[in-house]
Order: sequence, then C-alpha cells, then structure tokens
Amino acid sequence: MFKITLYHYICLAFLIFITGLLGMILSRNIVKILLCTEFMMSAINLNFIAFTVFKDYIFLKGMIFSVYITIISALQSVVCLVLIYIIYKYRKTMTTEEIKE
Amino acid sequence: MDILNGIIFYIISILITIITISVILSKKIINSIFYSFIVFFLFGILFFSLNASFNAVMQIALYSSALSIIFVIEVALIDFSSEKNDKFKLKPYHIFSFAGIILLCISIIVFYRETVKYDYVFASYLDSVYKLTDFSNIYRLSSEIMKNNIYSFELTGILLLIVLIGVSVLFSLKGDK
Amino acid sequence: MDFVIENAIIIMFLPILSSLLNIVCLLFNVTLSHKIILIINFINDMIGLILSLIIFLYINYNNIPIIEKNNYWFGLDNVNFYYGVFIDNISSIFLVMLMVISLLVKIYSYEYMKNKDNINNYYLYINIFISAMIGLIISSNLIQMYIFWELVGVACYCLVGFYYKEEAVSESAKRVFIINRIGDVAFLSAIIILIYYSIMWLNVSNGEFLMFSNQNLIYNAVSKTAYSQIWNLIIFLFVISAIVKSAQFPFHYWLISAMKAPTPVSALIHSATMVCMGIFMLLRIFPMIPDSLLILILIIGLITAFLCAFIAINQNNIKKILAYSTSSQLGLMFVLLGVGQIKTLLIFLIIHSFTKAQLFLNAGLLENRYSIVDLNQNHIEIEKYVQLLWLIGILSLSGLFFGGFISKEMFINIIYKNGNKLLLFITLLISFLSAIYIFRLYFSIFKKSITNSYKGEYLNGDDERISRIVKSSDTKQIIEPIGDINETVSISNRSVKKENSRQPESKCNKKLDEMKYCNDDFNKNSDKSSFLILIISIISIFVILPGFLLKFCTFNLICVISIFITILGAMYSYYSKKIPKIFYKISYEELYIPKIYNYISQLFYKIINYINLTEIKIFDSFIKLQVTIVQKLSKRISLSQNANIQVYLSYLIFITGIIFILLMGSYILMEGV
Repeated sequence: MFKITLYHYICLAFLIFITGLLGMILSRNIVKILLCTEFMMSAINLNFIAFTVFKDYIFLKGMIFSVYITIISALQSVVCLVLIYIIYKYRKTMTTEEIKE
Repeated sequence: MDILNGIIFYIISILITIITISVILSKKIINSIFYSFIVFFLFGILFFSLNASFNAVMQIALYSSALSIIFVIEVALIDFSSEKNDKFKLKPYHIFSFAGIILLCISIIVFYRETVKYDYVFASYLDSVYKLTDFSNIYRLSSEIMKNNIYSFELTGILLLIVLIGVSVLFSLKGDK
Repeated sequence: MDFVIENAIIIMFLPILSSLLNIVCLLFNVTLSHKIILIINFINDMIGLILSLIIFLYINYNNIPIIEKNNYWFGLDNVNFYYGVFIDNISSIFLVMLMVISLLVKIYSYEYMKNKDNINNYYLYINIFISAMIGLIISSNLIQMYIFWELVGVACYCLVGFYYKEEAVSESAKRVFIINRIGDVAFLSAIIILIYYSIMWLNVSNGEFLMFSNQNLIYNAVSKTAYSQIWNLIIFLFVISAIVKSAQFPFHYWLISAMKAPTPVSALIHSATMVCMGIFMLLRIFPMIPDSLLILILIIGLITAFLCAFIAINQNNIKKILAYSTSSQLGLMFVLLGVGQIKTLLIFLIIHSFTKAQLFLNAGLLENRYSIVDLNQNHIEIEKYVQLLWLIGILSLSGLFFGGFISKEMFINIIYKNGNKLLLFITLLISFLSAIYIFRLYFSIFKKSITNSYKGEYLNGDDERISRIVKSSDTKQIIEPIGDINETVSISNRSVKKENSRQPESKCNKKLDEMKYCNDDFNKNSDKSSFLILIISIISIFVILPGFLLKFCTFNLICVISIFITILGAMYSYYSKKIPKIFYKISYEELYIPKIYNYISQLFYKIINYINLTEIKIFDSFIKLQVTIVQKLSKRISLSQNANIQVYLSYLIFITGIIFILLMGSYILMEGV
C-alpha cells in the first residue's frame, strides 16, 4: 500500500489531466481554459518523469522531453494572453462566446 | 523510508486533486490563479522527490512564478465582469465528455492488471552501476542534451526569441488588428 | 473479247468509276455541273451496256453456258469460303435489262431533276445501287450475294429518302429499310443454318456448298438424308427473304411507301430491277427447294396478286396504282415459279419490267409537265403523243397488244397445261381485276371519267384535301383546289413553280412580240420535257418489239377467253359507277394496313414516351432524395461546426475513450483474463 509504484504516478497524472480537460470543457472563462492547459501539461510532465525514473533511468529521455514541454507550454500561454489582450482592446468586451468566433 | 515516501506522496496527491477541483469550481478567476500557483509548487515538490531537480526548479520558476504573475496582470487589465451568469448549463456535448472520461477510467483500471505484471523487472537493476542518484540530475541531463539532443535545444532557444519579438510586436500594434 | 470474259467483274466497278469524281467533289464541297455528270455516266453506261451485250451473246451462242471464276477469300476451321463471278443465261439477261434501263433512267433524270438540290448525291446513290445490283447478279455464292443484297437495300433507302427534309418522306424511307432488313435477317440466318447443317449432317466441310454451281450435289445429298425439317426451315427463310424483297403480301407495304422517291428512281428500282431480285435468288437456289415450299410460294403469289389488284381498283394516286400493280404482277411471277416454268417466268419478268418502267416514266412526265399526280385533279388538255405513249404502256400491261400479249398468253397457256382448274380460274379473275384498274387509270387521266363508286361522298386521307371531284362535263373550268397541291401531295417534286401552269389557253400565242415577256410555264415546260418524251419513246420500243415474237404463242380457246376477260374489265371500268361500299372501303384503305401500321407504331411511341417519363420521374425523385438527405445532414453538421474548442475536445475524449476500451478489450481477449 505504501510502496509507490509507477501505477500510482500514472493514476495521479491521469486524474489531474482529466480534471484539466473537464475544466477546459466546462469553463466559461478563457483564462480558466488556458490555466487548465497548464495543469494538463504538468500532469504530462509527471507522467514522463515517472516513466524515466522507473524504466529509462539510463538515458533520461522523458526528462529531456518534459523540459521542452514546460518551455513550450509557457510560451503558448503567454502568446494566448497577449492575443486576448489585443482582442479586448478592439472589442471592449470580453465574452467567451464572442471570442470563439 | 518507503513509508515516508508513500505518505508524502499521498498527501501531496490529495492536495493537488482538491485544489485543481477548486480551481475549476471557483467563481472568481483570481482565486483560481492563486490555487494554480500552489498546485504548481506542489508539483515541483513531487518532481523533487523523484530526483528530477532540474524539472522541479523549472516548473516552479516558470509556472508558479512567471506565469502566475502574467495571468494576474491579464486579469487586472481585462474586465471579465460582463459574464454574469456563471451557472453551469448542461449541453449535449458535455455528455460525450463525461462518457469518454468514464470509459478512460474503466480502461485504466483494466490496464492496471497488465502493468502490474511487469513490475518485477526493475527491481534487479537497482544494484547496477547506472543508478539514478549517483550523479546529480543537472549533470545527467546536460550530458544527454548536449551530446545527442543539441539540435532541439537550439530550436527551443530560437523559439523563445521569436515569441519574445512577437509579443513585443503584438503589444505595440496600432490600428486594425 | 476474252479479256471481257476473263475479267467480267469490271462491269461491277463501272458505275462506281463514273461517280468517283463525284465522291472527290463531295470531299471538297464542290458541286459538279449536271452536264459533266451526265456525260461521264453516259459514257460509262454505254461501255457497260456493250460489255453486258458481249457477255450475253457469248453465253447464249457458245458452247460454254457459264462464266465462273472463284478466288479464295477466307477460311475458318477447315471451312473455306470463296468469292467470285458466276454468270449463266439468267444473269446475263438480267444484266442487259439492268444496263439498258439504268442508262435510259439516267438520261431521263437529267431532265427531271434539273432544278433540284443535291443532284450529285442522287447520281452517286444511283451508281451505288447499280453496282450493287450487278454484284448481286454476278455473285457466285450466297455470302457474296448477301452483301450485295444489303447494299441494294441501303441504296434504296438513300434514294427513297432523297427529299429527306419532308417528314413523311424520311418516315417512309425508314419503313422501306426496316422492312427490307427483315428479309436480310432471314437470309443471313438461312445461310448460317445451312453452313451448320452441311457441316454436321452432310459432312461437306467446304464453302462450296454455298456456290450456285454445286446445287445439284446438295440436292442429291439432301434427298438421301432424313433431316428434312431443318432443310425446310432453311429454304423457308430464303423464301421469306424473297417475299420481303419482292413485296409480296405480308411485306408489301414498303413498296407503296417507296413511292415517295423521285419517279425515275421508282422506274429503276421498284418496277424493273430490285423487286425482281427475290425471284432471282429463288431461281439460283431452285434445285434445293422442296415441293411443299413451292406450294407455299404459289399460294403467297396468288394471294398478293389478288389482294393488290383488289386494292388498286380504288386508289387515286397514279404511282400507288402502279406500285400495287407491280406487286400483283410479281405475285403472278411467284405463281409461275411455284408451278416450275422458268422460261415463261423470265419472259414475263422482262416484258413486265420494261412496261412498268415505261409507265413510271410516263407518270413522271405527267408530274413534271402538267403537275398531275392524282386522278382527282382536274385535267387540262394533254397532248396527243403523251396519250399515245400511255396507251402503249397500258395495252402492254393489260395483255392486249405488244409485249404484254405474249407474256400473258404464255402465262395462261402454261397454267392451263398444268391441269389445275382452280388455279386457272383464279388467274383469270386476277386478270379481270387488273384490267379494271389499268383501264381505270387510263380513262380517268384522259377520258375524264372516274369510276369511284361513291361519287365523292367517301373520301379520306390525301384526296380530301386536294380537290373536289370533277364532273365529266366540266373539264375546262378551273376549279381551285383546297389548299396548295404542293403542300398536300408529298410525292410531287418540290420545285414545281407555284405559278399556275394549268391555264388551258395561253395568253402568249397571239402575238409574237409578246412572247418574250411571257411568263407562261406551259410553253416552258413543253420545251423542256422533250427529252423525257424521247426516252419514253425509246423504252416503248422495247415494249413493242417483243410483240412480234408471235411464234411462241399458241392461239387456242383459253387465249381468246383471257382476251375477252380483259376487254370486259376495260368496259366495266369505263361504264360502271357503283361498287358495294364494303369492297370500296377495304380496297380504298389498302386493306387497312397503313392504318394498322400507324396504330401500332403510335402505340409503341406512346409506350416509349410513358416509360421515358416514368423513368425520368424515378430518376428525378431518386436524385431529389439524395439531395434532401445531403442538405439536411449538412445543416445539422454545419450547426455543430461552431468554433468551439470545448465541443471538439469533448468529442475527442469520447472517441479516445472508445478506442481505449476497444484496445484493452482486444488485448484482454487475446491474452485471456
């Protein structure tokens, strides 16, 4: 029970991912959606790192990839936020339904 | 030691789940950003327990500090108060998502039995030369990246540059979109 | 001379040679002048005539009665087929007749077709026809004969449909061709069954059994075998094709439809040459015909002779009467064939073809010069020499004088000698009826008395729209027709000028000075048609000349009886005014055959239209169904196409869940839980 296996980490990552997904689907605010993407990315990172620790501890490929994942997700969110700001500047309103168009 | 490890893991995991749920269910955005900040911090701790210090530091530095600040500034600039009704309306496409999630859970539960079969494999290699804790994580990672994956490293650097320039350009735009 | 005999096939290519220049000019869209065409054709026809005369004399006054030359054509599975030339006395006679009539018809048509368009095509078609006929006559085996048989039908179609821009003409051309095709089908199937039969049962694995020189072999072989039913079938099919080609009873209607052709064409094709080809073919295969089918031939010949004479009594169109008379006389020829007397048959045929050609050319003269096509038209005074020419033809056809006398007399004597009294009686009856219609034709054109029983109260079809019947006293009054003649009567030529050419008194005869500004067609036509009269008179020589062969005749009681009957018929046609209404109706309506034909074809057209409409509806509705489905689906799908990430994500999750479940399930099933 207290012996933590790979399965536990997979489960946790899965749960966080699922919650992030649900939040993405069910939220009505754009910032929440973007925030949930970060959750999903970090869950993915956890998954990769767990796999490297338990299986691929010689070459550490998962960890390398997770580095890149973090970088790129951060960039993505920055860009999205900038775009939202610009849209707000021109539309003066911020409803998610209008932005979806 | 394993027990401690286990307890820490369980506590952290429970905290993470609770706080992510509260991120989704909070009515104000600023609250959710604050909660997310904490979540990323906890993720960092989890990574640290897995002897992936570089990843942990990156996570904390990027996500919990930089991104949170950016989100907060965004929320400050933009007026989200026009969305008044924040109630949850059930739409037909929501059902698909729930159904899919349930199916995935079922599949994971089933998959557990298959993963457990091969767990005995890793135990015999603990006494080998290549242990994870012999060298520090940064040493290991850097030796791998710079020898074999230098190309991708360079690309990400260029990407960062592009994003920097792009963001500054976008901000300084005047006139039509 | 030997050169001609060795290469007798040259004759076939002469008419095509005369129209080669025509073909070349067709390619380059140049119209030749009429005179050049005539000169070329004249030269080639004279050469052909000379060659055919040489062949005729060679065959009939030499020890060698047959010219035969065969070359290897192709072979299938040890069966070899040949092509070549086979000329015996029958075909030589046909050749000479054909060349004479074709020459005269061509010169006639120079005058007749002067102001028409598409004259080049006309001569081309005639030349194709003539060469095909020659090929048919001199061919040595059945397959070659079949090829030319079909070609003749094609040329006939082209010529009948010469004025194709009128709908009635094209329809009748179609009819002609289609009915001839029935004969072609029968012919071909007979050939195929014959080949099969000879290979299977006679063990003759050679193409020589199709040759006309080996008839006796086949006959002897057949009489020894027991497979008589298939042989009957084969010969029955040949007989059917002959019936179709020679316009006998069930298939006679094409000849009447073919009267929409220009008149010289009718003279060439439908009196003299093409319709005799059925008889010619039967003559070629005569040793192979069993007795039962000879009786069939006889019966069909009798039936047609009787019915066509019956119909012709009450027709009002000159060419129609002549067409029915051809089929009637051909029926009598079939009777002779059925009896088996070939010499009289040949004499009858030749004399008949010359007389008919002469009569058709006379009709063309009337049409061209006076624009008379119907017996109901009011007639201006026709010149005396035209009347004389008509008289020659009529007397010959009825059998009173000139050539017809010889043929009729021999015919009656042969049938009397054969012994069958019933046959004799029926033939005398037929001669009576034929006399009636022949003399009715003559009298109604020239003596102005029409023997229509119902005195104009029962009129139908074309006649109604043409004119009212003229009383015998009012001949010089001009009664205007109802409607324009050139519209209603589709048989007439198209370029008859609409200026009234029927004024009995020309205004221009009075002063010489005024003749320059005279617009009288009467004078013009009289100058023009001198050529026609020349030709007709040449042909009438051929009609009169056989009348001097009196040494072939035996004057006995039967001869006197036949003459008496013809004179009775003439008097009946001159004096009588009433026939029972039923007979009149049936004969006038041509046994209702055209009406039945029209009804059936209209039925088919209606069915086809109905099917077409329903098919269109079905297809339309099917396509509409598809269209509505696509439209509705697309609407629903376009609704879902909102740029909503959340929606897409949810669908994606659903699909991934399903895929996962499937994968896991398959994994478990493979491994076994």
